[in-house]
Amino acid sequence: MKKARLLSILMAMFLSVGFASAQDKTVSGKVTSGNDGSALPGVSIVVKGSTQGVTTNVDGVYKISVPEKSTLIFSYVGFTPSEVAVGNRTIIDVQLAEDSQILDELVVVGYGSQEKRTTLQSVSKISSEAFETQSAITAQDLLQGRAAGVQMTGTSGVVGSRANIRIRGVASISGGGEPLFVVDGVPLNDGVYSGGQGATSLNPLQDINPNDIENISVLKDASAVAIYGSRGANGVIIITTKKGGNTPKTQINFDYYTGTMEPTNYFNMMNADEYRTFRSAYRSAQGFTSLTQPSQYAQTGYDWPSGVLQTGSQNSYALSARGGDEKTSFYINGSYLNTDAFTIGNKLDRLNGRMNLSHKINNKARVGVNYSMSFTNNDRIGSDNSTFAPLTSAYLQVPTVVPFDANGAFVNTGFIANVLAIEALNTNEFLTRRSTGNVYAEYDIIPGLTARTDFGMDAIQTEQTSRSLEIISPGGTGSKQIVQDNKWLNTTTLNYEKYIGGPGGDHFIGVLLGNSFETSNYNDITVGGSGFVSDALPNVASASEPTTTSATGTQWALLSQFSRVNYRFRDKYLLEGSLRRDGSSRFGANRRFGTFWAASAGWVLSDESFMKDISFINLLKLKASLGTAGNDRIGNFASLGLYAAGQDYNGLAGLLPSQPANLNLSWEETRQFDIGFTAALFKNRLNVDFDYYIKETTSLLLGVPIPFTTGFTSFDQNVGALENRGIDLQIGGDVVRSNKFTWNSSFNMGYLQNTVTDLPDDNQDADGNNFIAGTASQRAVQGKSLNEFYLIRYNGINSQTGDAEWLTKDGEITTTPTANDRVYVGSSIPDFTGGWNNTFSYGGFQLSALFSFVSGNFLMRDDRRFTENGGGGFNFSKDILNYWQAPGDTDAFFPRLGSPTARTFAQRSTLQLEDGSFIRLRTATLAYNFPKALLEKTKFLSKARIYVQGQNLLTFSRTELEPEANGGGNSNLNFGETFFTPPQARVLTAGVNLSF
Amino acid sequence: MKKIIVAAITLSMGTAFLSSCEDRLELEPQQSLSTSLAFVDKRAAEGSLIGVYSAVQDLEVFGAIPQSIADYQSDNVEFIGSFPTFQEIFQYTTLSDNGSISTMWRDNYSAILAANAVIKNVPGVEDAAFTAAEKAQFVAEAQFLRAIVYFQLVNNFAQPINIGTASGAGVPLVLDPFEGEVTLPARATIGEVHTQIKADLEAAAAVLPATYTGDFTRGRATRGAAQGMLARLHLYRGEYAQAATFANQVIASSTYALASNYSFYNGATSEDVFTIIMTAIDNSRTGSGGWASYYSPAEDGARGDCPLSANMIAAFQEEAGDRRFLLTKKGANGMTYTTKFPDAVNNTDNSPVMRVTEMYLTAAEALAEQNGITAASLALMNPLRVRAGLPVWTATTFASKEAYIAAILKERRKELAFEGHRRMDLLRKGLALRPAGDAQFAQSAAGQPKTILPIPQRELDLNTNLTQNQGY
Repeated sequence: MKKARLLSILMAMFLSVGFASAQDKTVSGKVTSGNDGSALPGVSIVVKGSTQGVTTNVDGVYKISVPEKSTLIFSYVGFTPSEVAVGNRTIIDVQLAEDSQILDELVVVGYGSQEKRTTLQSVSKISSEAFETQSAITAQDLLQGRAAGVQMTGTSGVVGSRANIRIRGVASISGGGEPLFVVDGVPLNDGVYSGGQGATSLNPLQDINPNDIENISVLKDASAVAIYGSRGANGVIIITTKKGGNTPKTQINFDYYTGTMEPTNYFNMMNADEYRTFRSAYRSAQGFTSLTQPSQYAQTGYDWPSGVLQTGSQNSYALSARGGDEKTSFYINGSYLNTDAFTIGNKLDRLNGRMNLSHKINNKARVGVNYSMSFTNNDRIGSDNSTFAPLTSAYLQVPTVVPFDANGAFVNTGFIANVLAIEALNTNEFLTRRSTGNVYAEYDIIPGLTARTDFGMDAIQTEQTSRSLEIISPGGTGSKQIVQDNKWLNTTTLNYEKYIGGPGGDHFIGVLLGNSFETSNYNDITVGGSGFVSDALPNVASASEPTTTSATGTQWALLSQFSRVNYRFRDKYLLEGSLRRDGSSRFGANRRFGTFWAASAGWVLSDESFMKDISFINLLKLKASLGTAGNDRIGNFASLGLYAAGQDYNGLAGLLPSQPANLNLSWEETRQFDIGFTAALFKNRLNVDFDYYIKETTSLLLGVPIPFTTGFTSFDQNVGALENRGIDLQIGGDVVRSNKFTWNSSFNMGYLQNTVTDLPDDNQDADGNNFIAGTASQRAVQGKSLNEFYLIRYNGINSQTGDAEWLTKDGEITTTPTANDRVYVGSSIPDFTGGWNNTFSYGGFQLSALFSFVSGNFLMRDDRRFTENGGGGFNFSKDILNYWQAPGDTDAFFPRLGSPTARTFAQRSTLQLEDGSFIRLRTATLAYNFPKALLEKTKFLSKARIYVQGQNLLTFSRTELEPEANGGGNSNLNFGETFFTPPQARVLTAGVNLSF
Repeated sequence: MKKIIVAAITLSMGTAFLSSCEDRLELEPQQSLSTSLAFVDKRAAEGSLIGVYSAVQDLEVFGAIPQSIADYQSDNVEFIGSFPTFQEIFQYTTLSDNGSISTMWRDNYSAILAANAVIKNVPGVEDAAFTAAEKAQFVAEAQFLRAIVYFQLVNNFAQPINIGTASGAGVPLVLDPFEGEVTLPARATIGEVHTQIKADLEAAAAVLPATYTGDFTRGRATRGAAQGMLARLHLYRGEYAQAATFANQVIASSTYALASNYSFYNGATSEDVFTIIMTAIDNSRTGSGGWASYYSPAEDGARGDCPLSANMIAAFQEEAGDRRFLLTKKGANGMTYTTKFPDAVNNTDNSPVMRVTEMYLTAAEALAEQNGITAASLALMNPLRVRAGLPVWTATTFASKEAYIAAILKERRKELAFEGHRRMDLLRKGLALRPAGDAQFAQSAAGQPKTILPIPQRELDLNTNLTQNQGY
C-alpha cells in the first residue's frame, strides 16, 4: 500500500515536469568505454561551473544545451572523469578511460589512513555498499561473512543479544577475546552493563547505528594492531561514520524499511496426549506405582511453544542530510528503529541522532566534531538457562499444564514459570542512553606536518527496571539498576608526510607521533524489594522489604605513547615500523608499562620494469610483517589479593577473601607473523588478497583452576601459550561487466587452526594432558584446541536388549559409563569460516545474495539433556517417542522404557554433540534503482531505490535445530554450546532509499 | 624556525599533560580491601570474622542445599523437581561430575579457608583497642565455624565412622589460609577429621561466651553451641557417655529452654542453640534461594522440589493427633509440604543448625544406649511427647531397650524433620536410607556407595593425591 502510493507520487512528479527551455547551443554525442568501446549508459555530463547537466541514455547517447565557450565534465563511476571544451563543435563523442580507482582507494588504519596500493597492513574493509543490501539491527551483524578471518557468531535470536566476534581466532583463554571497537577515533566501552537473565549480558554496542557508517575496517595483522598496543591482540574494528563534503547541493536521504521476523527453527515437543501416554508408559515400565495410566494425569493441554512464538516486525526510518561548502561540511542523521521479535515480550526501540561537522578556519587550521546520541529501549526476555525465559520454559513446561484458569485468568504454574503471564504482566525493561563523540583541532604547521588534538568521550547510562507481579512472584518483587560508564580520552598526534624532492620524488617519509590518555569510570546502583500492596505500584519504593541495596564503582586508566614510521622508495619498496608504550592501571605498579612493536616490509612487484609487459597484472604487492600486541581485558584489579566487602551477616559488615594476590601479573602478549600478497588483475577486475599468519600468544592470563581446598576457584597467572595459525583469502571482482549486465562476486574465507601450545602441568587428565576446564563438556587442552569437547561416546540403542549403550574409554560397550570414560571428540572452533557475496545488476535492477558458511566444528546441545531425559519432570522431545519396543528394533532413538539406561540416556555424552557446519543464505536482496533520467525530471529526486530483502532464508546444515547459536556469549572457554538458545530470525523486509 | 617551535610546543604540551596523568594510573578497588588491610585493626578483624559467618550462611553451606541433598538421599522427602543434579542424587545415579556437589564442596572449603585466615591472623593484629580476650573469642568463633563445616563435609563425603572406621578416608584437612602456594592435600582419615573437629569445638567451648546481645545469642557461636555440637559428634561416634554429658550441659544452661509449642521456627528464641539468621537483605543467596525455595510449594514462589514422602506422612500419622504434622500443608499440586520454611519470596527462613530439642533427644538416646529404659531418659522424652500432643511414655511402654531406642529415633525423625539430621541418624545406626519396598532400598543400605557423595571430579582432576569414593 505504502509502496503503491509512493510510486504514484513519483509518476505524478514525472508528468508535471516539463522540458528545460532551449539555450544557445545544442551538443550531442555518444560516450563509450575506452576499455572495450562499449556504450556507457548513465554517464553524468555537467557544464563546468554550473549545476546544469544530463546523463547518457542506455545507448550512451546524450544531448545537452550549453552556453558558448563552455566546458563539459563527463563522469562515471569506475572511470576517470574527462573535461572537454565545447568550442564550436556540436557533436562530441567521448571515450572514458577506466580509472585505477581500486588502487587509489584509502584504507583506514590506526590513527590515520593509507592508500591501498602501498599499505603494508592487513585490513579488511566493509564499505557502505554492503550495508545497502543488508538491513542490520546492529553494526556487528554486518561483519558476518564479509571479511576473511572474522568469525561473527550471532549468539542468540534475542533482540539485543551479544555477538561473539573473533578476529583470526581467540588470542586469550581467561581474558576477553573481543576486538577493540573504535568509532571515529574513540575506543568504545564494551563492558557488562546488564544481567544475563539466563543467557549472557546484552550487546554493549547495540547503540551503534548502521545508518551512520561509511565503512568498517577490520585490522588484523601485527603491523595494523601494534599501534593499539595493549588492546590490539584481539584485532581492532574501526568504524568511520559518514562525513559531509564540498558539494554544490545538499543531499537529503530518506531510508525506510519494514519487515517481519520469524524463528528459523524450533524444538518439536510432545503435546499433552503424547506426554500423558509416554509418561505413564515410562513410569509403569520403570516400576513406579503412581501415575502409570494416562487417565491419572490432568486431562488438560496447552501448546506452550506456539503461545510464546509470534510473527515479529521491524521498522526503520532514517533521515539524513550531508553537504557543505569550501569551509564547512556536515552530516546529520536522525533515525528510529523498532523491532518486535519473534518471541513474545522481546522488543527494541532505538532513536539515534548524529552530527558530524568540520570547519576550515583558514588554510592551515581545521576544527570539527563528531557526535552521536542514542536512546534504546529494550523490552527484555530471559533466555537460555532461566525458568523465566519464554522459549526455554515453553519447551520445558509439561503440556498438560495450562496458563489460564477456567475464567481465563493467568495462573501460577510453579517452578517452570507461566511465561505467558510473565510477558503479559511483568516489566523487564532495559534503557540505554549513550553519547559518543569527539571534538578535534588540526593545524598544518608546515606543508606535510599536521598537529592534531582530539578529545573524545563515550558516556553510557543504562537502566534496568524489573517488576514481577503477584501471580508470578507472591507478594510481588521489583528492582531497578542504573549503571554508568563514562569514558574520556585525549589523543594528540603529529603527522608528517613528504616525498623528498616534491610530489613524485623517489623517497617518501611518513612519521606519526602521538600520545593519549584514556580513563573510564564505572558506577552502578541497584535496589530491589518485595512485598507490594498492589500490582498497580510499579516502583521499588513501594516494596515493604528491601532485598538489595547496592552501589559499587570501579575505574581504569591507560596512558600511551605511540609512533609509526613509513619509508617508501619510488612507492615500490615499502617499509613500516610502529611502536606503542602503554601504562595501565590494571597492572601492579612493577609491571605497569608494556611496549609493543611491529615492523613490516613490502614490494610492489608489478611496478618493476620486468613486470610492466605482463599487461593483465595491474598490481602485485608482496608484504610481510612481524610484531606484537597485548590484551588488557583481565578485569580492573586482577593482580591484587583482595577481601571483598559486603559479605555481611545479620546487620554486621563482613569481609571475605575474594581473590588471591599475584603481584607478578603482567600483559598477555601476542606475537604475530603475517606474509601475503595483494593483486589486482585484468584491468582491476579481479582482486585477490591473501595472508598467511601465525599468531602466538604467550604469558596467557590464566585463571588457573586450583583445588577448591585452597578456598578459591582459580588463581590468575601468566602461564601458558596458544597459537592461531591460518589463511585469510579474499577474492573479488566483476565476473561479467558489460553494458547492461554486471555480475560482481566476492568470496572470502578464513582457515584457522587453533592450538593450545602450553598450559600449566598441575592440571592434567588421566592421560597426562594439561587442560583448563571450560564447561562440563569442553576444555582447553594442550596440543589440542581451546574448545575441545571431552565427552563419553554414545554408541546407540542395542537392538536386542533395548538398552542405551556408550563406549568406555577403551572402546568397549557399556551401559554404565562413568566420567573416566570421557575422551576428546572434537572442537567447537570451525576450520573454515567465510562468505560469498554476489551482486547482479541489470539495468536498474540489482540482485544480491550473501552466503556465509562455517565448517568443521561441533555444537553441544545441552538442552537435549533435558528434552530427552525420560525420567525428567519436564516435557519431552517427540524424538523419544521412538523408543525400543521389541528385539530387532534397529532404528529406535530411545531405550526400552523399563531399561535402567532409560534413566541415564540423557546423561552428558556425544549423543548431544552435533556437527555445527552450515551454509546460510544470510541476505538476499532484490532492488530496483529508478533511472536517473526519470528522476531528473522530478527535479528533486536524485536517487530512488526500492527493494525487498530476506535474511536467513535458507540454511544447509546437518543439525535439525539452529546451527548458529552460542549460549556462552563472548566467553572464550564456553563456545559452541546451547541451552534453549533462541534461534536466529528469518527476516523479510521491503524498503526504499530516496535521495533529494 | 617558528614552525619547528610550534611543533615542539605541541608535543611538549602533550607530554606535560600526560605526565600529570601518570598518577591517575594508581587506582584502588572500591568494594574490596587488599589482604593486608583485612586484619589491620579490630574493626577489620571483626569484619573478617563476620565474613566467615556470611560464608557459612551460603546456600551451599548451611543455606539448604547440603541439608536438602541429604534429604533426597533418605526417606523424608520425595524429589519432584527438575534439576538433573538433584534428580540423580534422589535416584541413586549420582556421577562424580555432579555440579551441585562440586559447588557444595567449593563453598564449604571456601568457608573453612576464611575461618583459617581468622584463626591465624587475629592473634597478631596490632590494635590497642583489641583486647586479648576479644582476640581469643574471635578465634574461638572461627574454630567453631570451621568445626561445623568440617563435620558437614565428613558426614557427606565419607562413610559414617561406624561403617568406614576411623582409618577410612575422610576429607582433606586444610588448617592454614591460602597465601599463594597451591597445596594438594590428600584425604585425612575419618578419625583425623573427627579429632580436628573435636579439638576445635573443645577449644571454642572453653573460650566462647554463653550469650551475646540480641539475637546473636542464637546466631553467633556460643559455649552452648560448641557443647551441643560436641554432643552431636560423640553421638555420631557412638560415644554415648560424652554425648549425654555435653547434651545435658546445654539442657542445663539457662540460656536455652524447650519451647512450649511449635511457633519458634525462624524466631531466634530460647529453643535455638545455634541458628543462622537470614534476613531479606542478607540470606543464603540474596534474591535467588534459600530453604523455602526447595521445601515450599511452587505457588509460594518456590521450586517446590521436595514434598513429604508417603513414608514421612505415614510416620506422622502413626499416632493420631501428632501436632508436628500440623506443620505441613497441601500444595496446589496435591503434595504435602512442610511449613517450617515458608518464605520463598525473601528467603528469610533461618537455618536451624541446632535447637535444644536435639539435645533432649541426644541425651535420651545416649542414656538409653548406656542404661536401657530409665526414668532419666524418659524424663527427657516426655516433654517432647506432651508438646506434640501425644501420650507420655512409661517404663512399660516398650518391651525392650532396642524398641525404646527405635522409638526415640522415630521421635527424632519427626521432631527434626527437614532440619538436616535424618540421613546421619539412619547411617550412624547402620540403617538403610530408604524404606523396604523403595526402588532404591538396596542401594540405600548403610555403607552402599551412593549413600555418600562423590569427591567432585574437578578436584580429582586437579589434585592427584585425592582418592575417589568407592563406586564413583
